[in-house]
Amino acid sequence: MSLRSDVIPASTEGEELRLGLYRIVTTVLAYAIPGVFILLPLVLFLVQSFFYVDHGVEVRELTLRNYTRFFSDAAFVPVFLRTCLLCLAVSAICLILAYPVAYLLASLQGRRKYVMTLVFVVPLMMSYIIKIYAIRAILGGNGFLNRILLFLGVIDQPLGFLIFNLQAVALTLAVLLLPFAILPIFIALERIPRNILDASADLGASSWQTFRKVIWPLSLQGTIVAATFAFVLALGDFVTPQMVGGTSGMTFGRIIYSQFGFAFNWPFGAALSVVLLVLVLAVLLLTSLFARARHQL
Amino acid sequence: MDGATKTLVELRKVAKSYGGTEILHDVDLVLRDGEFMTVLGPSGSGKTTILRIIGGLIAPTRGAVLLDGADISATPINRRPFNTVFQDYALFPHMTVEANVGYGLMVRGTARREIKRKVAETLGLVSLDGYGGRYPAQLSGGQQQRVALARAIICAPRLILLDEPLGALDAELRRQMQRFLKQIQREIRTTFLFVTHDQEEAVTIADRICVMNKGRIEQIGSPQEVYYRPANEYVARFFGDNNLIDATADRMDGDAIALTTSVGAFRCAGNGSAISSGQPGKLLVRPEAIAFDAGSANPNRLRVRVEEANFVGPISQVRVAATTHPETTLMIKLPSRAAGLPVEVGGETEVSWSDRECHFVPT
Amino acid sequence: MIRISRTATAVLGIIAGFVLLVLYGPLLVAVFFSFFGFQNNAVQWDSFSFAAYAALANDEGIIEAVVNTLIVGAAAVGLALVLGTALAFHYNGSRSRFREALQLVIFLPFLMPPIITGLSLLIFFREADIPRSLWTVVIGHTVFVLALVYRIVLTRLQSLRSSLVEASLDLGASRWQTFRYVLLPSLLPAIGSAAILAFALSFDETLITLLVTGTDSTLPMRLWGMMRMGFTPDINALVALILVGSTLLALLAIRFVKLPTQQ
Repeated sequence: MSLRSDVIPASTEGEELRLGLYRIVTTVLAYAIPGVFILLPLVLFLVQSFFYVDHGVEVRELTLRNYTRFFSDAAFVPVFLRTCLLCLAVSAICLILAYPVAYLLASLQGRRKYVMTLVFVVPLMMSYIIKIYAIRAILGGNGFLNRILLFLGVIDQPLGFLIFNLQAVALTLAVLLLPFAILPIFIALERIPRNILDASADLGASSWQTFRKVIWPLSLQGTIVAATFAFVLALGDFVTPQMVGGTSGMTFGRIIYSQFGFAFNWPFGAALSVVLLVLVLAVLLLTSLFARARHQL
Repeated sequence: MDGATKTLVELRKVAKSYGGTEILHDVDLVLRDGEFMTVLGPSGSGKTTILRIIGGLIAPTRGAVLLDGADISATPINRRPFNTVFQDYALFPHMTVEANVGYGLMVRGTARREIKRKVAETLGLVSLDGYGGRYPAQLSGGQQQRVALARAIICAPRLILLDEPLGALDAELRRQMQRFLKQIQREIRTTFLFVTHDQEEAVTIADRICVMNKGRIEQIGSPQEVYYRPANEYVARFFGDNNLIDATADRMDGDAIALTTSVGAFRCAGNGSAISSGQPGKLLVRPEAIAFDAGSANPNRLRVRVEEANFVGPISQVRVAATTHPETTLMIKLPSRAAGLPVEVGGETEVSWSDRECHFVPT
Repeated sequence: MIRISRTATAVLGIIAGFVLLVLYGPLLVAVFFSFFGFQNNAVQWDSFSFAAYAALANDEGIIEAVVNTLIVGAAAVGLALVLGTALAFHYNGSRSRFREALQLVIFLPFLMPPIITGLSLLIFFREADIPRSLWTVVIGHTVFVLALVYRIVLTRLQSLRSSLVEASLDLGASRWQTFRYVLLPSLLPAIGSAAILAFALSFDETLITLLVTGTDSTLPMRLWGMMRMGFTPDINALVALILVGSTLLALLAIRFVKLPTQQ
């Protein structure tokens, strides 16, 4: 809450000067800090993607060779596409589980609703790396699930397919991102005015018809936001695939990270990240366009 | 209360524009020390702009604001000896009533004990003894209103500005608060500038009324002057169901004016200003000034047909049309009687009014 | 409120139960094994002990990581609070055409995948010749949580009635007094919840940290290192402690942040 600009300025000239100086300093700082620590790094990062590495030495010449390498080398595009599919799958699993949960939460009342919502939202605040660890401890060859199954005599050899593959990555990401998907759907459902539902029932619609014709269309926007959340967050992750993906669970994020680690090819890593960024921006843009279109209806 | 004639605040040719649109046009206004002035007008008339310019919340585009004859146009809001009671009260929600009321003294560095004493005294003045420890949210609308008033009073300002402060209250509480404000104003002998869009409220509460329309002042005068002698058609229409008939001033006859209308000739008392012969305008008669008794000595008489009669509690409203010219209609208000109205709908009768009760408004 | 039939409630309830199992099950298993041993494919019920916790207390690496995490969290939250509040005031008071652009820049690290934020900072630090250390981690975390703090404070600031500031000035207060006595107290709940959420985010941040850290490790990185070695009861104990910590933090945050509820 600040003052309107046409409020009478301080009276004496000295004060006015001080106030003017103060304004200039704060304005410069307001732009400088985000500019230096957010915008400048991004620009450097973009520029970096046009450099290249020759025999382990970084060459500072602008070239498109990183991008041509990405598209021409058979190693990268398939991983990229597979990662997209993986993230779509994560998004789908999240939606299939999150919608019913959000729906149930929206149908509860009073204190019970509050407590149950908390129970489903609190995992958002719980440590991410710990959740990965815990899931790995369950699924691993030495993991809890295998040991239980062995103990029960269901199997006599530990099951290997539970972990260190893409399926395990997808399942782990889905578990991690579920609360992110529940929240937007729940909020969308909560925003539907009660009298609209009453009106629908009053007009003779069955509860299925009310869902199909009223609730579903009105909650669609929140559902799409949920799907976008899950997709984008899954796309940028490289720790989860590393922890539960094993050698067969290679994802795009891991390839990028390796360029800054073992491969030590920063320009190429930057170029791959730009590709990732473009995809993320495209998805966000599509979502916001869709949201705006629905808003106008 | 016209004894106070010393000028407190003066606006000289004050104008305000927002992005090229002028919303206040060269307004001149004089506030006398100790008076209760009401600025009355519909929304968008510029009345709140005037209040905010005097208070220092906005700067005028042109013109000057004078206090005791000295230009204070460049004095910032926090150094003007004026305090405002805001439309939404603007009580600080995180402070107790006591802290709210004492705020103006606290920021001036007044000693704590002194603040405590003055707060108690001021809360007593607005009949809120014992409410000091409560928070604004725990008070009713009327109580919040009184806290806002106390918060302004305690600073002992030269002028208290009130921006439609009663707008959010219900009708009964509103009337109570009007009496209360008037009483407080007399008690502390401070000038009040009160902005409202409610003409009944303005008439009830003010020593003088400033009627505004579209960024201009239409008339300034006592409630009686504005009510009975509107300066123009706008003011005449703003105060209730005035009857207005197209008329031409014929000649001056001493202090009286002879008028010609499509339904006959009438006489009106003059208002002192010179009116030229042939001046077009409106004949104005208040609905309660018209009588049905045919035997009266009133000089202004008209043969009418009763079109419609409505009982509205303490008064009854009758609409009549001139028999010779049915397009000319008059609204008449008279006290209701158990015996009913002296006339019947559809019947013809004669109505009359005194030359003292009618007025000519030039256009 | 949406009304549903009993059958539907039952079906949804089963799905919700499954989701709860998936969300909490693995964590509870980890907590369980921080107390009990596991041998020959069977839980050793008589092995209940706090040994794992005692071992943690003696692990200097862990303690250092905890201290580092707290330093980074406190510094990043402090910086982000000052900056975010100042930027919110700037946005609110500014009429510049560039203020929307500035706002977008502030939001960028929150909108983009963390890997992009981390990489761009990594490259920036190299170009600026800033050696990687805990302080580069602090910068990374500040940039990351800034958007959150900024958004929460701005929302609260915009919900304040302008008449409160006007009233304060009208009563004779200076701009500084108005900020000190009227604006700051009104913003405190928002600043408090922003601080808690920002701290929780910082505490857990792994992706950016991995990219911009030097040799000092924070807790998530220490865990990541320990997990590569395999599972030990020590990790389970650490997991249990962190869980308790983040749950408490979450509950604290929820006291401030109101959930959307039906009007």
